[in-house]
Formats: sequence, C-alpha cells, structure tokens
Amino acid sequence: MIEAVGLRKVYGRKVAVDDLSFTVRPGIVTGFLGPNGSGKSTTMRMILGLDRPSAGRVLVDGIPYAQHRNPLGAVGALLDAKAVHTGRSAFRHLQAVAATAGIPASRVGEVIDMVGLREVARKRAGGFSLGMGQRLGIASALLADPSTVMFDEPVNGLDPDGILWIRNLMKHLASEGRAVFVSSHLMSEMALTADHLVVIGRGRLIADEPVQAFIDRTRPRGVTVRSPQVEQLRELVSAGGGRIAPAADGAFDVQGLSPQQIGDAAARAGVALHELTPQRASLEEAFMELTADSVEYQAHGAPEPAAWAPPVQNSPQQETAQQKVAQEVAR
Amino acid sequence: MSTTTLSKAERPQYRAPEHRLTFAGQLRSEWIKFWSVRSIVWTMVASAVVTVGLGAAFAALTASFMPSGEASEVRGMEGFGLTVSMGGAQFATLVIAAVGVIVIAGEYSTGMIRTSFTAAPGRVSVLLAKAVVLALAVTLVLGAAVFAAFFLGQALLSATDLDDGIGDPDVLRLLVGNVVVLVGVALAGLGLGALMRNTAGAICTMVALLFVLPIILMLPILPDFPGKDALTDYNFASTMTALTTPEAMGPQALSVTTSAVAFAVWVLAFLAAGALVLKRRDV
Repeated sequence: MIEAVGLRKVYGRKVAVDDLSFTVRPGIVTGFLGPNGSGKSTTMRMILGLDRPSAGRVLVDGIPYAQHRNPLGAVGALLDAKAVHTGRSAFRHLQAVAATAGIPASRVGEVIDMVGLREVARKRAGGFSLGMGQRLGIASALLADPSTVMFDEPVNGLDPDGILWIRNLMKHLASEGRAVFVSSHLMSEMALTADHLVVIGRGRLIADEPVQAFIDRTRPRGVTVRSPQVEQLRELVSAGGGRIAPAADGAFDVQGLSPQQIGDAAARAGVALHELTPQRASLEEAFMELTADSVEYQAHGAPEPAAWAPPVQNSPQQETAQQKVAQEVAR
Repeated sequence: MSTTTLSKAERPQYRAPEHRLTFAGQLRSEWIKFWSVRSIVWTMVASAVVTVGLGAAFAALTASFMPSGEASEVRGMEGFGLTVSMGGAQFATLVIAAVGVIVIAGEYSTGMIRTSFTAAPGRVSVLLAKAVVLALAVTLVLGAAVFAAFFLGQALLSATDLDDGIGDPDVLRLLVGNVVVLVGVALAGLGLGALMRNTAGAICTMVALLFVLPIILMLPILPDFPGKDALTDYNFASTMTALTTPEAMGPQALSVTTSAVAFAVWVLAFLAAGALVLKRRDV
C-alpha cells in the first residue's frame, strides 16, 4: 500500500511533480497514467526514496520506504530495464540483490524460471534485449515476494507474448492481495489491466478513480445506426429532435437521441434496424478529453508549451533520457 | 466506485515473508558484485601483474646495470633492493585506484546504483560495504602480489649483493606499508568515484593527484605561493612516501607516524565526501 500526500518535486525551475496525492490499495491493479514526461517515473523514484521530494511525503505501509527493515519485501520495483550492471550476468545480479536481505539462493532460481530467463541467466545483462531486460527487472522486483509491486512501463519492449504474460502476472499478483502500481503512457494497456487509475498530467493529479468512472466522465457520444430504410430513419430521427449524419460504410451517426429512443421510435414506425450501437468513449478518448481540458486550464496560468503535446523544452527527465541514450551509444 | 472494485479492495493485504536487510548481507552482496564484473576482475589482475611484473623487471634491469663490485653508493644501503622490487607496486597504485572508482562509478553509469539503493535505502551502508569488500580484496590480492614481487625481485638481485632479506630491519614494515598504501588508494578511488559518479573523470583526477601534482610541485620554475610547503609535504601522494621509502634512503619530510595519520585522513576525507554526496543527491 502506497500513500502519497502533497508530493512535489522541483528540478531547478521545472516543477516535475506538483501537489500529488493518491493511494495505491492492495488487491487491485492501480494504473499510473500520463504522457511521457508527466512525472510518473519521478513519482516512483520518490516512493523508493531515490529522489527526495521537494515537499510532501509518501509512505509505504505507513512508513517511509527507507525506514523499512525489509525494503525489498515492502516494494518490489521495476524502475527501468537499465537498473542493472551491464557487465554482470542475470544470475549474479539477482544473487547480489537477494544477498542483501538474506533471501535464500533457491529463490533466485525460482524467479529466473518465473520470468523465463533460465537459458540466458549466465549471460551478461548488457547483451539482453529490451524485453529480456524487463524480465530481469521483474525477476528482481519479485525476489523478496513483496507486498507491493511497482512497475514502470513494464510492457516496453516486450513482444505480444510477453505483454500478455505481464498483464496476467499483474492481475495474479493483485489477486493475492498485493498492491500493484503500474505506470504506462498507453491508455489502451491500462484499459486491459487496471482496476483503478491515477492519472497525471504535467505532474498534477487529473483523476484518481476506478477505470469505469474515468471513462464515464467523457461526454456522451452518438449512436451508430444501420437501416435499409434510410428516408424513414432520417424522418423519425428529426421528429425525435436528433441529428443524423452519414458515417462510414453506409451506417449513420445519430446525435441527441439515446439508443432506446431510436429503437422504440423505429419499432413504432416499422423501420428495420440492422445495427444500433451506442458509441462509448474508450479510455484513450476519455484521456484525450480530460487532458484537452487540462491544456486549456494550463494555458491561462502558465505561458508554456501545451502540456500534452510532446514537450519541446528540455525537461530534466528528457536530459537524463538523452544522456542514457548517449551512454548506450558510447558503450 | 464499481462493486467489483470494492470487493477486490476488501482482499486482505499480502504479507511478504520475513527477511531483513543486514550489513552482513550487504557485505555478501558486495562481494558477489565485486567478483562478477569482468572489468573489475581484470583490473585487479592487471594491478597484480603490474606489481609483480614491473617489480621483477626493475630488479632484472638493476642487476644487469649494476653488476658486483660497482654501485658503491647504494651497496649496503638498507632497503635498496626492496625499493627496486616495489617499483611495480608504485605504478599499481593508479591501477588499484581505478578499481575503487569502477566499483561505484560503474554502478552510476549503468543504473545499477538505483537497484543497490532500493535494496539498501540507507545508502551509506552500501558505500561502507563496498569499502570493506574492496579493502579485503586488495589486501588479499595485492598483499600476495607485493610479497611475491619482493621475493622475486630479491632473487633477481641476489647476484649483485643489493638484495634485502625479509628479516632485515625495516623490510617488513615497508612491505606492509606498500600494501597499506595500495588499500588506501583503492579506498580513496572509491570515495572519489562516489563523489564524481563518473569513471573517466575520477580516474583522471586520481592520476593528477598521484602523479601530476607531485611533479608540478617539484618543478624548480614553480614560483613560491602561500602554503606551497604544506602542499608539498601533505598532498595525497606525499603522505605515502614515508610509508614506502626506507629510512636509510635519507630523511623524509614527514615521520612515519605523521605520514600514516595524514594518509589515513586523506582516505577518510575522500570516503566521507563520497558518502555525503551519495546520501544527499537524487539518483
């Protein structure tokens, strides 16, 4: 369980995280959603005490992470695939992490099998693909069998097989009563795995609610209607006060009427309907709508580039990302 | 909130099995880490090869240029043979400083440091454990190398009468002094690596401190400036001199005791500065 209260992180003059409060509860998968550079990784580093908050605090099971006597058992974290020494084998890496807390050697073999790295465990981690690196990071996170797991963009670089595996893994970990906190900039991914969402944009909290509630916040969409009796359909829609417009593939998009109203009116008029589909906002659309509001809101106060466009200015995270890329290239 | 979420949220929280972060565990962890990175192992091997190989080479050269009967100045000078055979150990200080740097700066450059600090969020204990493991590894490997260099060197010098015996006065102290210097320089490298977080930068700084600064200070064209004498006597490299130079070679600026204390203060200062930065900065 993670509780953040008024978290704030300032790098120089750039506010990376601003007054962020949320709770990650056990038993469910909590998605941490926001565009790249919105402060997700910074927040996760603050949870682990790797970054010091400029203000506010974050507790893990009631106390700061650094005060846990068994920190690896409090939070198992996949921060990014690059939190591994490239010159060390996966096996030795896990052995070294396990040794700090006296986790038995047998557990190292267990987690290696769990993530499917048995064949490459003796190879240097520097030669791993992004997907293998993610699996090693997950193995490391699960070493101490922790009560909270925290994954930063875990599906990055995984093949479809691996993505399915990690979705099921997160659901399984939550079903055992663990708190699961997973970040992503992919809304579609969260729609499939998360029960609850913490959404941030530009370091600020935008939503902290169940996935369905988040989707329900979007404006109602129209209804897709298909009928062979086009003229009668037009008439009954305009009679009912709705608007109708042709959509793709011979279907029609009806606004201003509910599916029930359209269906009932069609039945009374004897109009055959071949399709009557309410258009529900996807998580992606819900996200775009809410963030569009956030852009408008932001534009009044801060004369900076739009928060939801890819940031143009060099944020501290971007710089570190660039440095990392440079280091990798150099290596 | 939907009903499914509510029922899921009512699940009792999972309890992780009892484990405990301990310093002993951290020592084991750092020992595993130390010997499982090729760059560290090879640099350790290189430092031993330099110690023994260069020492033997200097001894062989000395033996061929100073055959019996000549070199009257040094004949009978206690510790001359030892000094020749320790020529490699002097160069090995730089190599072993690099090991100390790599042990910590390598973790920063690869991102491993985040894993280390997540496992041990107190952070300073990570540096301490690294220091203990490094000191132990250097003592074992270079301790053996220093003694090997001594015996090999004396064997090569035996025909010239310039060789020292292990039982001769001052010899054991100087051999131990060489090992202490190597351990201390490695620890200084560790502190500097933690301070600078950058392998190349820390190694260059160490080269400057060990080899460049002492030479600059000896240049006759260097004008006087306030504190020049103190800097000449007490710079990091100078504090090692009395620990590795035989008394018979002439009086040193610092006594052995003063030297040992000053050297220890330097090493502790490097480590303390490294610890301070590592504790406070974000990673």
